[in-house]
Amino acid sequence: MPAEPSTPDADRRPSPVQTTAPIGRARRALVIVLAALVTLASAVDVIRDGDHWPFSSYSMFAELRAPEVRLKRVVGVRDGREVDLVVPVHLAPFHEARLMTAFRRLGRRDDAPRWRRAALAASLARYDALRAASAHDGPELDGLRFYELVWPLASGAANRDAPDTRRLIAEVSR
Amino acid sequence: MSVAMSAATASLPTRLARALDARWFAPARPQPLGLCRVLFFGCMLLRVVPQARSAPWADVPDVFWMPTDLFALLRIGVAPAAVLTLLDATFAVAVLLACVGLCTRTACGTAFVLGIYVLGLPQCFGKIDHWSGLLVLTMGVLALARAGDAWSMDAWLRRRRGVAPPPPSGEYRWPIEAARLLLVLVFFAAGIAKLRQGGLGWMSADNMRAILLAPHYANDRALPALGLRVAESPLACAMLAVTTIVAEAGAPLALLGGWVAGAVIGTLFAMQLGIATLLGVHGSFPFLACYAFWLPRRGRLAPSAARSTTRVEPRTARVPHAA
Repeated sequence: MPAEPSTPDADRRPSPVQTTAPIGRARRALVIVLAALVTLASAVDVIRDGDHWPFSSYSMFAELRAPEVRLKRVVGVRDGREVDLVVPVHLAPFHEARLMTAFRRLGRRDDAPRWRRAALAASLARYDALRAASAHDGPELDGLRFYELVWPLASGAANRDAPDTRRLIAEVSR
Repeated sequence: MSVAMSAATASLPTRLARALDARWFAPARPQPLGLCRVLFFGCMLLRVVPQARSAPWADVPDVFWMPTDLFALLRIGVAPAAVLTLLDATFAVAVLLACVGLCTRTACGTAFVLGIYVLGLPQCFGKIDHWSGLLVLTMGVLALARAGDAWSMDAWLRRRRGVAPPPPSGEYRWPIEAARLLLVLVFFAAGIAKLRQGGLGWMSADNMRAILLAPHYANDRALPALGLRVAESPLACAMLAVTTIVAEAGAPLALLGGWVAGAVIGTLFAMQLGIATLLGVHGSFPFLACYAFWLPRRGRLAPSAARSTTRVEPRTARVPHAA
């Protein structure tokens, strides 16, 4: 793309008298009103700790952390043994945080266990569909389990492979 | 009455209005805005468009459909995969055209409208990725702006046709200020949320240590060991935590400009780079596009408000023809 100004003629011309093109009152008012509305919408979300996309209170990382890590995780089951799943690979287009947030929100609904099982069954169907489309090379699964894992924080996350607590929250099988 | 006396006796609202007027609407040349447009959509093209693949969402089961308020209000659902593929492609073309500045107004408008859908759709499946909202709003600003009057194919074609270059105008200043306001609002909100939910304890070394260690327990990302090493230093953790709060809650100060803006925005930029690399959050750094509006503007690219206003002639002066 050409930068500006670019032509040699432009450099040879005598320096022109510079004028301005003022903004009309209506246009100026429109800009101010829109800026005020955006600011107001942001302020409402900040005050109410809301999330009204594209506005938000941006509360990520906001809560005070306990000296432990608590994660939800979906694992596969094959021949009675558990198989680690990597969400962006095996359950795309989800990423880990999006899928786990979806499970958390479903877990807040009335009849949460039924919703969680439905989501797990849907996840298994998604896994199968992606496997059938050769989008991943994971094994054929008999079912899925949904766990809550808890670790005490350790230097260098050295205990990451050995959670202190594994609580089974939901399970589906074929 | 002299101008100085008039300024001194003006009421506070009047002075504020004048300050806002000078900050947002003082005449500016079109080049800085044009360059911001190029950089913004260039970053979008490289960092965001490749990830904007909507078609797979058509096959995600309904149990995960949790529309955002905007999608629910407009009763927007998930289109068939073929339509989503077409929308993605159109969005990519619009972003490309907006970047190079061909049919700029239409391209920016199209990128904004399609961006609402293409970037908003994934947010309807559980978690909202916060970067997406800011990008959509910034595209909205550029859709309303005269962002194609410089650094664009449109401007080049106009010059070839002998059309006079546009004179300085406030039209080239307010979009930059608006985009800056959007970024500042995001960080200010994030800072307030931390203070409200975590209190002053958020700035403790222990809290920052937990934040740095936690992502290493996830199994969906490979992170550098640097975060683990930083987590072992209480001093480094405390400094990071305090700097985060000060920079985020103090983000509105950046709107004052000058070295304060440089310090605040530079700190926030470094912080986001740290979040992307040490925590693996928003690893593609989509926010990068929004920093384009904070690049220093000096010399011929960006006459300051004061210089612009003192150099310009009354609007009755005739615009000299470029030919």
